[in-house]
This record gives sequence, C-alpha cells and structure tokens, in this order.
Amino acid sequence: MQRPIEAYAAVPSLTSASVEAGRPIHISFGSAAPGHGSTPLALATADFAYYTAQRVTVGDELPLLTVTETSALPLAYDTLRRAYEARGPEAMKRYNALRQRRVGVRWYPAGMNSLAFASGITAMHSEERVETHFLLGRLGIELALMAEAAHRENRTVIAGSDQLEGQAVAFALADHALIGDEVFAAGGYLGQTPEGLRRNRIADTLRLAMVAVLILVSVLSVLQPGGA
Amino acid sequence: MRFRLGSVLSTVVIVAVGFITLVGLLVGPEFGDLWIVVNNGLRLPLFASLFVQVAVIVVTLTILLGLVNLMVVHLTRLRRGEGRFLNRMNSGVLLAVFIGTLMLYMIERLTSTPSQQSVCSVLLEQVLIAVESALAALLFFSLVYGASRMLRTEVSFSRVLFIAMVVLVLVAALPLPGLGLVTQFYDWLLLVPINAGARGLLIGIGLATALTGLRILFGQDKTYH
Repeated sequence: MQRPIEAYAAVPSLTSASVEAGRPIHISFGSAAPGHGSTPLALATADFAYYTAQRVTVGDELPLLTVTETSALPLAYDTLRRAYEARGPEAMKRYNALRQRRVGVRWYPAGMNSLAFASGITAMHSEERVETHFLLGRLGIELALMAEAAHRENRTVIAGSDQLEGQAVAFALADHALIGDEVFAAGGYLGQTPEGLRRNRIADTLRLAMVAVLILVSVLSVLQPGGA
Repeated sequence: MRFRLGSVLSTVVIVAVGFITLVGLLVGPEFGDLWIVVNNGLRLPLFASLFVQVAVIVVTLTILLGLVNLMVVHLTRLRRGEGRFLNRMNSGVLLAVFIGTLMLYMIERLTSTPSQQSVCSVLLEQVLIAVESALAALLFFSLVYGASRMLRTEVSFSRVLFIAMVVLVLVAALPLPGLGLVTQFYDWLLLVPINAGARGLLIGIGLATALTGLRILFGQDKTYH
C-alpha cells in the first residue's frame, strides 16, 4: 500500500482529458540529463514520461517532450518510442504516422535555470494547444514563467523538481506539486510495476530509518555530558 | 521466462561499464593490496578514465543533435504550413537568425583580428543577456501572481502558512525602524525550521538518487532494456 500522492492520482484523468480533447500533453525534463549530476533524476523523469505517454498512445496527438540539455535528447526520443512500442504494433504504426506530422521531442537552449528554455516553453503553450503540462526534472525559479503561462491558457500543471527553488515555485503555482523525492516514484504509482512498488517501499523504509537515526543522534548529543 | 538478447546484452554492458568505472574511480592507494590488484593487475583506473572520456565526447556530440532537432522542429512547421501565421513567422525568423548568426560567426573567424570586438559577442551581450535579464525581472510578477492565485483556488493550512511566510520575509527585509522582533523571529525561522526543512528535502532527494543509481548498477532499471 503506497501513501497517496495527489499529483500521481490526477494523471489518469488528465491524460484521458487530453485524448478526448485531441490535444497533446507536454512533459518537460528541465535540465535533467544523462552524463551529468542529474542522471538518476533524468531516468526518473523518463520513467514518468514512459508511463504517462503510454496512456495517450490511443490519441491523435503525439506527446511533446522537452529538454534543455542536449544529452537528454536520445533518452527522451527512446522513452517516447518505448511508450508506443509497449502498446503493441498498432500503437507503433500510429507513432510512425504521428512522427511525420510533428516532432515529439524538442530541445530548447540551454542549460540549468535557462530563461530561454522557459520562454520557448511559454511560446509552445499556445502554438501547440497543449492540454496538460508535466514540468519535471531539474527546474529552478524559471518554472514560475512556464506555470504562469499555462494558467493564462487555463491548462493544468503538475510540477516537481529536485531544486528547492523549483519545489517552492511548484508548490505555489502548480495545480499539483511533486515535493522532495516524489518525482522518483513514478514507476510504482503510474506503472504499478512490482519493481516500482518495491523501490517505493524501500525508499519509504530508508526515509523512516534516516529520521530515526537523526532523532537518535540528536537525543544522544543532548544527553551526553557537555551536549547542547 | 523469455529474454531478449539485445536487452540482456545492453544490461550486461551497462552493469559492467558501471562497475568498472565505479571501482576504477573509487579505489585509490589508501586501499593497499586492493589498489595494487585494481591498478596494476586489472588496470581499472585506465578503463574508467577511458569510459569517462568517451562519455564526455558523446555528450559534446549531442550538441549537434540539439541544433539539428531545433532546425527540424521549425522546418517541419514551415514545410507543413500548420498553425497560425504568427507561429510560422516565428519559426521563419528563428531559422533566419540562426543561419545569419552562423554565417556571421564563420565570416568573423576568417577575417577578424584578435583585437577587434566580435559582432557575435555583441549579439550575445547586448541582445541575449538583455532579453534574459528582462525575463528575470518578469519572474517577480509571476511569483506575486502565483501567491495571489494560491488562496483563490483553495484555502488550506499549508497555503495560508506559505503566504504568511512570504509576507514575513518581505516585511523583515524592509529597512524600517522598530522591526527588531520581526527580524529576530525571521532569523530564527531561517536558522531552525526552514534550514531543517530544506535539509530534510535534500536528504530525501539524496536517498532517492542513490537508490536510482544502485538500481542502474544492478540492472534493475528498465530504461535501457
């Protein structure tokens, strides 16, 4: 039994709305990318993209994946392809047809806290008639520009980041925020895979163990002679 | 149980490369006999350094991939004539500016002397940085808008607390006399609960990052299967 996370609970209804409206969903990796310090975060975001994109493979629009680090481009392309492939040959045929019409993975320059990336996404909101935005990966304060632009178009935003500034902005501006390490838990919540569920159970246990150790160390440091 | 050869092969390669790089970078002379085996016998530091260099080269090459992607996105839009006229014009301007800057840079490299100020650096400093600064100023308004929107959609304890903290931080930053208590309270907040909260979040993210790294090393991650 996993603890409820509002953002993950909202994903099925948001993806269904996207299919019904015939509008694409947008998933951003931010500046998370393989080959950098954010490699595990990039893979976690790819996990989120994989399970979310699978839900819209029946739709008429290709999901849009955006990155700001070029090394995340192959990962994003592969994630999108795998999501369609997982749904069988018919979905794969649809993927190949949709690819002719629109490029599903996009790079906007460049790097961490890129305002050029934020302005590119802001322009994309209206150009591509995006239904829902999943702004994840590594994002800082520039997330405010993207979320605000999405709200101007009355679009739902789910946001999360490994940066504290990004998390604060997500809490304030997103409809649903993924706080702390919640962005890493997509496999268990969206995919319901045994590995994902196991991973989330281990993460919860480790977190509890860490809290217990911190409390124990604090108590011991107070109790020992000359402690605080 | 069925295995796909490609999937097994990629998992084996990734796990092997991961472990060789990890051990090669981690084990140093302080490990004694193990260091002798790893360095002189298996020569893992050499392989680790080679793998890191290959990774750096691949990451650098992906910059070209990014540029091609940008061009393809806008060329596709222009070619298919989709979307509003303004969007197509946007793509056209982007492509024209890209090609123009590229040509300008190449001409400059061929003709200019080191003492001359490059037009490309003027473009970067006077246009790109100026535009990014203007966007950074806009961020403030986005944040204020966000704070005002928070209580319009839903009033909850956490949202009220968030707004109260924002107001407190702004008041404490005012250069007014008689705010000693507020400033002291703000300093305590910053030092104790905010610091503790931030550390808690970072520890959580650190744990999750380590867990994901271990899953990759042990071949549990499905991304490369």
